[in-house]
Amino acid sequence: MTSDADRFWQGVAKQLRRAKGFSVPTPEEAEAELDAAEEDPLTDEQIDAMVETATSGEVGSYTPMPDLSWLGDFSDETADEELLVLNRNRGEEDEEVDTLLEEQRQEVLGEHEQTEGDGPVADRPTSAGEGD
Amino acid sequence: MAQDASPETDDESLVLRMMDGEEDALRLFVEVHGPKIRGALRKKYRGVLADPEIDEAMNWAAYKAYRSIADFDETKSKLRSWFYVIAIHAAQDILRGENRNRHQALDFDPFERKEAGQQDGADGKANGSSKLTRELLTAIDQVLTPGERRVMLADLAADGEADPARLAAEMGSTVGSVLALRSKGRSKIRQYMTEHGHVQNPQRSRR
Repeated sequence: MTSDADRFWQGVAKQLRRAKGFSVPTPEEAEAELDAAEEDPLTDEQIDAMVETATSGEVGSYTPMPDLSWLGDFSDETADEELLVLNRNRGEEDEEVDTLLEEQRQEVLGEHEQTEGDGPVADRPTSAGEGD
Repeated sequence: MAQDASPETDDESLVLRMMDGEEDALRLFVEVHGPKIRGALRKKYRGVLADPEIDEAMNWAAYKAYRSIADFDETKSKLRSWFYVIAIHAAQDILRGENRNRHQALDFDPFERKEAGQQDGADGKANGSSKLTRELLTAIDQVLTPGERRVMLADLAADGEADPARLAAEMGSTVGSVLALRSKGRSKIRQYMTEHGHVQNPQRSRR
């Protein structure tokens, strides 16, 4: 079913496409766009791929991948340790886990350069609103 | 790498040699005109198509140009413009996720517009409409979330509706989420334009 919003969009898309420079250009517009564009040199591999596709009709298609660069140097080995700490049952004490937890607290505090302490780190509140 | 050739003087012989199926002429055609076409495509589709997709569009454009070189009409356009517009259509096919057109030679005039007879000068640059266009651009820039904006721009670049599966892969999301972003984006734009007096009262328009 087409909604009012869909109908409205279809009515204005052509103008928007034009304004955003996505319309198929006329020959004159195409020349102007090419004049205004910088050359993007092709590598030998790109040239070979174009010729190969043109003569054979075979081409591999690319599937976009999400940008996960924000993960940085994330390692699943680190995650394993953190999951071990996070997934213990309430009331279960484990000296090894407590040590790991303390190490991770210290590491995080070190990263944020929170050096001015007013008591044991473990005693500090950890709610989201802390520091507000 | 690209040979140092003058496209102005060589186009005619390039076309004739490509019509004869000379692969060397095809290679020279790609070397001479490819860099400008790729640069213009990257500029046009910045933020919409990834570099590997630009390469894919270039490959398909070379395929279609080579298979359809006999249809090139030097009285209508220069060779590089013809190639560029073929590449734009290839990019639109990728955005729409349309594979069915790729293994065909050109069965259309690349310069022929779908909206022939309704050139943008008639409605896009008239005084009232240019104000409308400005408001629409403001709505896209200021009202939409980044995700909604990405889907709407992909739709505009696709000259239709962009493939939701492709967008979902690109955004690390799901097809359902992409469809929801499209629906919300369109609703927000209409709402904004209604509030700014460009759309009739919704209650009246439903009658």
